[in-house]
Amino acid sequence: MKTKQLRTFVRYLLYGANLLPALVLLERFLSNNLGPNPIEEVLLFSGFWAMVLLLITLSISPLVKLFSQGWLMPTRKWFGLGAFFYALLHLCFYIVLDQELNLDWILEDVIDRWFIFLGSAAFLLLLPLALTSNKMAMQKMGAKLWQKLHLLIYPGTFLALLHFYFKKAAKNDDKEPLIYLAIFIGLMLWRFIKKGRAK
Amino acid sequence: MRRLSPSSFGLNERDTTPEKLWLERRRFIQQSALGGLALASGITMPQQVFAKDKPLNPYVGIDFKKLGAGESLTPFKDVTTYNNFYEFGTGKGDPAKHAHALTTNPWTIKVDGACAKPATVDLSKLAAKKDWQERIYRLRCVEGWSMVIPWLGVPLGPVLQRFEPLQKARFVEFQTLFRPKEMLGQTSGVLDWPYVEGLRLDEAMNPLSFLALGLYGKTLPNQNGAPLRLVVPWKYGFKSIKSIVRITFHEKMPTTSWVKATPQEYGFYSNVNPNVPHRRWSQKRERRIGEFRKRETLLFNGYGDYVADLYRGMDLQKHF
Repeated sequence: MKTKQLRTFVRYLLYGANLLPALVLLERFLSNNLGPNPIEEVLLFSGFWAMVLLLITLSISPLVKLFSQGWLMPTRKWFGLGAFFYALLHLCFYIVLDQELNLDWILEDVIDRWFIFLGSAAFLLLLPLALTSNKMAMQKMGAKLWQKLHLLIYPGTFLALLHFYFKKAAKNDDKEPLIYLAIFIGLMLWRFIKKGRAK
Repeated sequence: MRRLSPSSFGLNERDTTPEKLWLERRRFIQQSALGGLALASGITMPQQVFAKDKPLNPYVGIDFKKLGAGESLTPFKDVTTYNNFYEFGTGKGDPAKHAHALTTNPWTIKVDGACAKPATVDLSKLAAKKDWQERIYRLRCVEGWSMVIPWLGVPLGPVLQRFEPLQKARFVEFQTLFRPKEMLGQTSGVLDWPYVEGLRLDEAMNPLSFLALGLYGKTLPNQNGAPLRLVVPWKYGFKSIKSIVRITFHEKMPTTSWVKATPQEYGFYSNVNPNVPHRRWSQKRERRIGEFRKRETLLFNGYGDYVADLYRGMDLQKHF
């Protein structure tokens, strides 16, 4: 009973951890501490946390299985929602602050800028996952279809990381995006190997 | 056929080249000033009113104070904490964090290549403090942001002329210090070090081209390119090379660092031009640091009156 309570407590702590970056961002905004180019800063910040939380989401099931800690499984949903929250924030910052709600600019950007296209595609892949993250949607869809739909997290994450890679590669500096891509590939490899063994 | 060389007139090369460039420059300034006058008064004036063979100082026609008029300066803190200086890391805040490690005294500059008087000179000899003047210029970064900075320094042209570039010299190359022990970023392979930039000689002789040794009335902070940097305000920021240790005159166009790294994205000229997009983004607009909304980017960063003539007849889409 005591372990169970502790585990529940830790789980809620982890759910809450999703909000920490947002609180840090808010604090930096309120204390006017976003640097000389605040719009660029909030874009980078929100995008970074969307990527990190996507990778954390994908790490939960390997962790659970490797260490047989099934009680951690529910955190996956909330990290996934956290990732989507920062992706949505990122998109809003882009549309409102960076593009000043100008539809012509945005369209031109999506068409002309390869990495903007990739980012938009990533968001569109992740959107249905967030919308169907509740129990009701799951019941309506049926577990099988629901699970199939949620496989979209893999291409969604991959495109999000590519979006960052092509943004960064323009600066001829791809160390950071390559680290994220390597983590992603590692997590995918683990899944393939496990699937192979199961057969 | 016998070709006339400058020496046939009892002159050596150093007597001709600079003056020719100066005269060309002067002629352009006269014409643009005259053009404006003619337009304003609705009359046309013959070009010949100006004596053609009188040596003229190209710096006389420009009121440099006026160049910065109407612009509000970017705060000192932003100018000195938001920098691209890959020798100290690729983050905007990295240079301010790491550049203190750089030793800028003593500092010598080696000038060589196609010139009559190659030399290695001490910084203080190249640009004595008493000669420093202020220039307020807009700086447009290729990434889409801009600043307005009050530089201190000396015009580039007269400095270059002291080394007497030969007539065959058409380009000038600049090199940044290579000292990985002090410049952390040089241990990474982001660019092929040392950083190299270049100008066509007539661009370098343009009155706007400037060697900065200070900003905001102080000597340059390290992260801004101490102790000596180039400032060419009608080109994207990366052309304005920092911490210069070598200047070389060439007959042929030098291969500059960004052209070498990604030739499909960066050209030798890299003039600010809203009509030529970067391969990954539009250059139509820019965010002035400190402003909330974007501004329209101006051709030649708004300095067309002074520099457009350099590119007459050139396809700027091709020579980007």
